[in-house]
Amino acid sequence: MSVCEIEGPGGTNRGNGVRDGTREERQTTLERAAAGDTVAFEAIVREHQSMVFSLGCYFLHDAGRAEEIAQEAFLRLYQNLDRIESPEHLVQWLRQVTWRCAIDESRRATNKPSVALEDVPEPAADDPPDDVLLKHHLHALVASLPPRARMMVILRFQEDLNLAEIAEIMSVPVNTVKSGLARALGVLRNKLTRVVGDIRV
Amino acid sequence: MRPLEDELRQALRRREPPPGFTGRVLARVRREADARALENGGGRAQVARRPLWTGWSWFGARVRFGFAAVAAALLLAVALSVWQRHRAEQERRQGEAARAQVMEALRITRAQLNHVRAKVEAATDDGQRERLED
Repeated sequence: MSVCEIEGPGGTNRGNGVRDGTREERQTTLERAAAGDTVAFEAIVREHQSMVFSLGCYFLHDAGRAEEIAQEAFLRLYQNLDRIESPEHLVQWLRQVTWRCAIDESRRATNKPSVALEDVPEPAADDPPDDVLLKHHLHALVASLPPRARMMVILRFQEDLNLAEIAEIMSVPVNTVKSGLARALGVLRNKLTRVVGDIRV
Repeated sequence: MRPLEDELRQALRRREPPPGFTGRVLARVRREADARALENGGGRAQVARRPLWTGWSWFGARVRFGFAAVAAALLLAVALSVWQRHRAEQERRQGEAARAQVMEALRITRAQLNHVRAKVEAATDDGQRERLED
C-alpha cells in the first residue's frame, strides 16, 4: 500500500455521511444488500469507503493499516447487514465499528507505521506549499494525541459531528467529549504555535 | 492564517482509499462468506448469515455431529483394544520374569543341597573307616 489519496472531486462528505441518491434509494439498496445482493453491497462500500478509510488513516497515521481496518469494518458490516435499520443507522454503525477497529489496531501494533501519512504523496496541487506543510504538521500533531482525544478531534473535524454524536459513537458521556475536545484543541494550539507561529482561535 | 478549527477541517478532509479498495473488500467478503458457507455444510454465500439452527444448516450440523460421534466411538474402541493388548503383553512378560526367577532360585538351592550332601557323605565315609581300623 503506498497511496492515500486526498478527497475526490465529489467534495467533503460530512454530517450523515450520505452523498448519492435519495433516502428511499439508499434504503432500498440497504435492503437489497441485506437480502444478499452483492451489487447493492458494493454500492454501499463505494458510498462509505472514504469515510471509513479516512477515519482509520488519520487515527493510525498509516495508510496500510487504515485499509486493513476499513476492510475489517466492511466485513463486519456484511455480517451484520440484517441488523442495520436505515441509511443513517448504517453511517453511525460504520463509524462506531471503525472506531473500535482502530483502537484495537492501535493497541495491537506499537511498531512504526508501514506507510506514514507524511510519506504519502498528496495530489493537492491547489494548496500553496505552506498550507501543505501546515497540513503535515497538523496530521502529525493529531496523531500524537492520546487515542480517545485523537478520535474525538477526527470525528469533530473530519465528520463535522456534534458533541452528542461523538459521545454516542465512542460510548462516553457528552461532558467527557466536551472536556476532551477542549483539552485536545488546547494542546494542538500550543504545539502548532510553537511549530508554525500564531494561530488565531 | 485561518483559525485552528478551520485548519483542522481542511487538514482532516476525507480521503479516497487506494485504487482497487472496493474490489479487495468484496473479495475478502466473498472469501469469508465462502468459508462460512463451507462450515455450514455448503450453499450460497448468503447462507453464511443464516442462523445455525434453521433449515439445511441445522440438518448439516446434526449430520456432522453424528459423524463426529461415530468417529469418536470408533477411536475409543480402538484405543481400548490397544490398551488391553498392551496390558496382556505386560502381564505375560511379568509372568515370564517371575518364572525365570523361581527357576534360578531352584537351581541355586539344588547346587547348595548337592554340596551339603557331598560333605555329609564324605564325613560318613571317614567315620566308618576309623571304626574299622579300631
